[in-house]
Amino acid sequence: MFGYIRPFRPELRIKEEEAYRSVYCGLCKELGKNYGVFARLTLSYDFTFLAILAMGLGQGEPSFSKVRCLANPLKQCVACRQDKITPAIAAKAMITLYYKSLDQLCDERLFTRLPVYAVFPLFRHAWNKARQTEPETERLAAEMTQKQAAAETQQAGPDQAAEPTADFLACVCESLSQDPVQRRVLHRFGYLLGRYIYLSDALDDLEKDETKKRFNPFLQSCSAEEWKRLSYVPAADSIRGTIAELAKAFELLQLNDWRPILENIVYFGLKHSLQTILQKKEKMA
Amino acid sequence: MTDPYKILGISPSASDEEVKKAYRELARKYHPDHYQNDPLADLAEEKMKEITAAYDQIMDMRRGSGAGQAAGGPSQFSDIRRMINNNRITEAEELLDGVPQSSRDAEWYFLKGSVFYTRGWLDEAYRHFHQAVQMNPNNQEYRMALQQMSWQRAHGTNPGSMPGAGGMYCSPCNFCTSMICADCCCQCMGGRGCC
Repeated sequence: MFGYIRPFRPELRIKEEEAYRSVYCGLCKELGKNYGVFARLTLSYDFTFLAILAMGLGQGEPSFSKVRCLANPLKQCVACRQDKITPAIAAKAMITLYYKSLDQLCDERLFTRLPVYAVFPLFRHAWNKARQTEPETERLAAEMTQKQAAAETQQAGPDQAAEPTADFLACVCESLSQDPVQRRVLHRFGYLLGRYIYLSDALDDLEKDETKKRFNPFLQSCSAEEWKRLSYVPAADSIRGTIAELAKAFELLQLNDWRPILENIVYFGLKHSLQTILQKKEKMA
Repeated sequence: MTDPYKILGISPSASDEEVKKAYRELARKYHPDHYQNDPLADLAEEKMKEITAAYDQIMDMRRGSGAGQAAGGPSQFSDIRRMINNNRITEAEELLDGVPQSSRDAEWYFLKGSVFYTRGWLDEAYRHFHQAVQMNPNNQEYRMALQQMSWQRAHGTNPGSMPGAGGMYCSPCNFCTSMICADCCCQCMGGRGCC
């Protein structure tokens, strides 16, 4: 996953920002403990969101502890951890990371592939460990990779191309709750969230994919040049529609004290990420 | 039964006006119109029922008289329509795909759009709803479905449940009020060169 799911900081209250950061630190620490220092450097915001969502749905109480930060060892920060949740999310992160790097190794030119080769054994080692704790995620991720390849050979449009990622996240989110009704809501929510991530990434990489001749669902209908002339409106509309739709599913979730942070991400953060992508493109022009 | 005040997210000491306001806000959020064709529509409907029951209960307790509100109305459904409503998407799609090109009317495009919508293929859904409205511009249902998606695509939120700054909810109805408030804030901040 790619870091498009993050809070919109100006709208976060200070206690919420601190809580958010503590979950991030807790995951980072967990990755270090279970998979080594390199793993800590790969942590993305998306998994922090998943951890908070899991905590928001769950019953258990998280525990807080003081840790030293890898990026700034002089500073102490608070790490939040919950027994059943944090290790599971860390494992999911490692599995996704492995499949993403695998994808990069197939796709990129040799020059960009070299750094991936250098760290790949580490990723592989982490993956081997993670898939034993999360066999279901491993199965889903392998399935996603396979379906993605099939969609790409079929030159799929946005809806179809987004489906493997969407299905993956639908099942991952669904697994965060035991309650059958909540699971249904989470499935829809996860599907749309996966769709959002995939389409955002596709829009973000539009130009890069064209020069590198990589698959991009938005390039099936017109070229990057034409997209620029359209100011990316159809793609942005599609992503905005996805955000609105997933907000509807989100409103049906039963959440505890973590709700305000999740609301911030769903109502403001996602749209802000889209805005950031569009602004980046404007600057390029 | 759960505490009706808790369901509406207010304290038992809330005034009648506050109860009404809380009810209205929640009802707007979970209104069936927002969840039209949504595979989670039944959950929203349950939520709506829960809110309405809680509101009625509070009002009954306070006055001894009810103020129920029914939501949504049934309309005519064909077999495929019923299938879609029961989340039998694969079957519905098979039947739809079996319809020859020549007899695909506005209703066909609407139902096909609904199938896509349920699956989360929002682009195709939008295209099909658009086609349905073009073929039959007078159908209220098609127009509503298209309108909802157009709003979502333009705003990234849902009509009536758009959260504004600081967790306050603002809707098209109180959009003007919000603008006036924002204007006031800007003016007082303006002195420090903020806006």
